[in-house]
Amino acid sequence: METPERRLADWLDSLPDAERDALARSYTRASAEGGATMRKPDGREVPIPPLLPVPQDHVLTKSFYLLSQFPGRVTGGTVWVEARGNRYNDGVSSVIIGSNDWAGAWAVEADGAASFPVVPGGERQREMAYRFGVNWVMYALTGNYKTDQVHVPAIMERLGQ
Amino acid sequence: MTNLEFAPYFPWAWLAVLAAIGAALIGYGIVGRARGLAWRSLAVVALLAALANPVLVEEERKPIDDVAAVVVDVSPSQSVRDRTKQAEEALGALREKLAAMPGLEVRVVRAGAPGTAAGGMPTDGTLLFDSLAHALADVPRKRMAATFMITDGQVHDVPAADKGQPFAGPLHVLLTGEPGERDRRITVVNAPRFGLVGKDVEVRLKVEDPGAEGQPVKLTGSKDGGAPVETTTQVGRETAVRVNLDHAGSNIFEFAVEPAKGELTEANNRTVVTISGVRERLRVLLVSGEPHPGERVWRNFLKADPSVDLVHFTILRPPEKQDATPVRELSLIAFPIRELFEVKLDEFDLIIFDRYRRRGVLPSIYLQNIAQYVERGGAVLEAAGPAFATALSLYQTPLGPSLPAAPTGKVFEERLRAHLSKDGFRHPITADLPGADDPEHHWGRWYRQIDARAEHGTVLMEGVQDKPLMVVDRVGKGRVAQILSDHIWLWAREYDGGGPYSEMLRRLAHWLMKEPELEEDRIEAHLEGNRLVIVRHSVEEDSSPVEVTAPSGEKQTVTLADGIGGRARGTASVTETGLYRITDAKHTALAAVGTLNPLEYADMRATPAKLQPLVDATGGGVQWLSEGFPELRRVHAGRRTAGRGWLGVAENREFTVTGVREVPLLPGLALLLVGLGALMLAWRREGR
Repeated sequence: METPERRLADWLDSLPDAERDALARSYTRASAEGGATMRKPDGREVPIPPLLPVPQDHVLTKSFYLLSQFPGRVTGGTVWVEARGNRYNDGVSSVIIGSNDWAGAWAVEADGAASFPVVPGGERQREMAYRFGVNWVMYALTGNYKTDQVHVPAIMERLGQ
Repeated sequence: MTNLEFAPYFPWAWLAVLAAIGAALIGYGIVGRARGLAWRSLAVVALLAALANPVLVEEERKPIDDVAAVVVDVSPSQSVRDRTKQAEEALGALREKLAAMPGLEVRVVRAGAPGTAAGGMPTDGTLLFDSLAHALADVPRKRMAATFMITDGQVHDVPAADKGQPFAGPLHVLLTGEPGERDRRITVVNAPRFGLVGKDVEVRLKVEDPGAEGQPVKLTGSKDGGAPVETTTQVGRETAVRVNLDHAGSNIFEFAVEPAKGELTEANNRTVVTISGVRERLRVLLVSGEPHPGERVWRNFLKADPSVDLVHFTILRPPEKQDATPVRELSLIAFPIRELFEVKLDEFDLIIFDRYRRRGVLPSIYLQNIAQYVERGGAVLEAAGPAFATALSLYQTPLGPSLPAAPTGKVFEERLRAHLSKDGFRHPITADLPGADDPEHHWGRWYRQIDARAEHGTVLMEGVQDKPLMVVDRVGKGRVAQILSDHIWLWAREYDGGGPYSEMLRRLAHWLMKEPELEEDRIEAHLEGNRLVIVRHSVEEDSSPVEVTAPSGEKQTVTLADGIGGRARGTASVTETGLYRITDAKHTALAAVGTLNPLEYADMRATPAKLQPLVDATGGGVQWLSEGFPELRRVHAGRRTAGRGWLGVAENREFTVTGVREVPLLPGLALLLVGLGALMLAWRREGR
């Protein structure tokens, strides 16, 4: 299905890491002023809302696994989400931008061996890259569900009255 | 009538100057001891008098009739007992006696009939002075001889006695009814206007029956035209009645007290209290069987609804998929099953199963609880996923018998277009959905439908081969709905143009939670101007007439014309204030017109008290007709106008002038001769 998010994701996937990182940084500068768009190679404008680095307590850190970092094939790059959240969408970010090349960490050859080594390295980093992938998908499917959970005790308590 | 007037030939100022000159000359003559002074003075006076031209004016006058107004109260309170007869007899006697008085015009006004206020709205209470002012608009106050009111004294627009009266002359009151009448009535001391749905509110009532304080009386109450409930109270004591608001919108309570022996009327033995039910936030439990693309549609729509508190659980990892990941690295928590499905179950207004399948998460005892919860009045919405067609289906659990559509085991995975069924066009959940008349062009395609047979309930939406896509049903006191596709999210993403998913889901959820405005089988009535608009919602076409009962008990039959959206309409005219009851074979609707507890029926005992201040201020009198008809006397204006056993009609002796005749008193020539004669005599006197 052709959606703005999908088109954007496809296009971002097609970029080399460095370019993506530079883009994210330059975009963030632009988005601070608001109203930025990005031009796809085919010339179409893709509207991008203002972004901000993923906060420490963001749902992406707990949508399935508990994570404190989001490593991919490389690590340390900043991951960006929509700054204000989308009020038509229960505050769920319509875009996640980062330069850690997660697909590179997930890629496997026909025999099941990883296509690329992860940097700085270690199977733990690759496991974390998988976990981030799971969290990402869960975020896409369940949105802010895991932020509900912290409210459940309060809601349950309220129900008891 | 004759008057002496002057019509001078010159302005008075000139005459004054001439008189001054004449006086000066005469004065000079006196000082000079002139002879013939008397004759000269006479000449001056005669000439001045001639110039002042005195005339006799004669007026021709015609007497004007005085006006006596008679106001006959024809308000509903005048129809109890024989008051109407009393009033008509009094009017006859009054007419006869007034006709015998010469020079008196009698104007009779019948006033206070209901439904005569400006704007067409029924009036509240008896308004006599309004009509009186209208009838006397062209009569000057000085012509008013007297105003008679034939009434029970329950007049609700009496002007304050000290604030300038609307008419001149005495106000006489001829009271119908009898002194010391008995009337029992019920009054609302205090009732809230709003209350939370499901909670009790307190209505404070009082039965008034002067002279019978402390007597036990039976009090009945009914809600929304339902069966009455009985209790006992005492006359004159405030009674607190606890009532339960079981739905949002107007909850109409009627209270009635048993009639007293020999009381005037039972019309005020009942009263109506309307309390608006306000819903607390609705609690919805959403159970997602697995993360899937449609899940956020439910979340977004429920979280965007300000009246909903959402408790959401997703089975992120079924029990059979355990791995070696340490728990502290997982964000998963155990499902608080017992808490949700046993302890707090009844707290929820709606439970939604979203692509739920049996995975050993919910033991069947809890599903049994949910089936009982529905029977008790709960609501379940089942949004089926492909697993509904399998052995893991929710249909294969104790909840199955509650579900109206049974899976056949087949799943259509093909292009399909949702469209409304025949019933869907008439059911409030789906009626008037935008694009419903032409889904081919307005509603986006879906790609999955779980094949099912609707074994009971009402199919509102269909898909492949007109098989059910959305089914609703009532089970026990509760409600159940099924959506047999998990592709409604394609509408939310505007795929292929999308569709009205949020409006449809909102209505579906609120119908499940018994929102009165979405009831598919009901009559409602509301006022438009002075007409009562009656709308019957029905899924089945229904052309039966309805009966409209006015507050007075008068009945009329109204035919309703079937229209779009399952709504049949009709109108009835409204002339009374109070509670109208609209009924057909199955339903009862209540509509409040104007004040629910009309002033007119509040106190029906005849009394002079309300009119007494104005009677005293105008010098009028009060006479109970039950004690005989008073003597009428014509009295001069300014004299006493009422006394023991008699009422006065003022005689103003007003007239109009129809003609004037002027007779010059001193003809000019005669005066001239007098003047000249006097001068000649003076000259002769001087000449001696």
